[in-house]
Amino acid sequence: MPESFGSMLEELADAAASAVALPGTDAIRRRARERVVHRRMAASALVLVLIGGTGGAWAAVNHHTRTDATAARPMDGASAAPVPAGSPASAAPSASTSTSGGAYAFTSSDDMSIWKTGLAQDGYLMVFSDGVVALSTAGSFPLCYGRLLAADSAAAATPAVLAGVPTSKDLLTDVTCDNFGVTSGLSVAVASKGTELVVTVPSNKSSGAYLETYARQSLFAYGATFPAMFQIPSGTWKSMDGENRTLVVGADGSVSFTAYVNAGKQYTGTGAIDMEYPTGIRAEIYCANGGAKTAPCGVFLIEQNPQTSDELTVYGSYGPETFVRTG
Amino acid sequence: MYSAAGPAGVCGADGNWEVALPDELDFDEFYTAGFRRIVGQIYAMTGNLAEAEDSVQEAFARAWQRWGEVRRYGDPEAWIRTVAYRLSISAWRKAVNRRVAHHRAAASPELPGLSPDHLTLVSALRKISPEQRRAIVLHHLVGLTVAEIAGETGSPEGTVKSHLNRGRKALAPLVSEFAEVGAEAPRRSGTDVVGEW
Repeated sequence: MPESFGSMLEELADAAASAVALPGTDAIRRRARERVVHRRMAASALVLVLIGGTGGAWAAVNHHTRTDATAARPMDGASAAPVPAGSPASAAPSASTSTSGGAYAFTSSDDMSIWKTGLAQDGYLMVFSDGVVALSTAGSFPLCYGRLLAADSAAAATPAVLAGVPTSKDLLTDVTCDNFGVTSGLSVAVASKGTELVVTVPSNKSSGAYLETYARQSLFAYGATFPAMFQIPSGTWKSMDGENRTLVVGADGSVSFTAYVNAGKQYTGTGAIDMEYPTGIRAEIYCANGGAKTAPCGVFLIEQNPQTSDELTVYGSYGPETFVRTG
Repeated sequence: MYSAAGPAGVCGADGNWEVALPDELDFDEFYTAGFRRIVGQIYAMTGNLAEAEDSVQEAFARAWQRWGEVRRYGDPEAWIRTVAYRLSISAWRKAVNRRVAHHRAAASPELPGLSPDHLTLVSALRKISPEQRRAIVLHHLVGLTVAEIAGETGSPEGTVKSHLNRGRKALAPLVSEFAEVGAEAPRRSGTDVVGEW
């Protein structure tokens, strides 16, 4: 080629640029609004699936064989029934040990924030853009599940999250953390000019009312910091603490876990990856041990970077932990 | 309390989260000045014009949703380019777009009316990996340094240098400017050619 490579590349890019029309900014803003509508519809659909799907969940778990035409979608997986306590994680329906990953119907979402307690032992609170909250507490695995609802519109199930941060003062409902002693009546308020979250825990049988303060660690915006995950890290993954915890991720997005915590007691649960976030993918889990089995009880945030890596970074307990592939 | 679209919020004096007023003119100017340029850059990285156009539109839509935040970044255009690139290589997104394209009989991703030299360049770019292509486009088209490319791609500088070097070697047989680089190593096989190009 007679011309310099840079000039040729520039001409090629210019040719491409001049071949496209410049949509008006109104079209871009309309597209932004449509994204929001889609996300709200997805959130509404999730609520409907959770309400309507629980009745048939036990039936579904007895029909492991799925044809291609009825392969599980992410939201279906999210409402899958829990595995009874004692069942091995490898028995999870549709679990696969494929290492190749694949295209997957993530619902992409934009923002999340991570907050950390000031206690000596790490404790995290993650706020996702659809209002789901994940809390790490001592001995728990996976992260405890909760939901943020706007205090003035709780009945409407409106996610009280703006750009990954809760709004001024919101209800924290459906909390499954045992150590809080309560599952409702909690609230979250933003304090210190947005750098802290204060969780108010009402009095309960084991303690009086108290406040838990979390300092903001990170606020992730899509594409700004981490590469987005768009492949399922399918396979079997074990923690590095004597392999006491196992995650089995299926190529269809199903996730099951087995954990030996609390003096070797076995805990199990199943769920599905349902959201893609800037820092990883989120799985909502239905635990088989304790608590209601008809609603999510736990959350995993899973990162794999690079996506061919044989290591996962899993937020499921105190903080990020490394899981290695064993199958 | 919940604002779904528009610029990101800010913390008010009382610590509450408040929605900032949009600076539409600022966004409009940024968008008008950069849209076509970024489409050209993403096209050079991916080789699919329709996908590049759509992903850049989507990236600008996402930028508008949090414009108050994005505008404060050192280089908002790099944010748009990064988001658009990641969108354009998303396997799931491609699958959806292909289905849509099938129904509307979308045009070929090839650019019409390219000169022989441009066709040679297109052919050459098809022979290198997406990571190498991205590094080469960012360096030779966007004009970024190795450190800047490392920052934008999230890769170590050594990896960027490797991508640039290997990309140049692979292009050497077709780009005389890189011939000297290519003479240092054997030709690359075409077995690892992936991506749109």
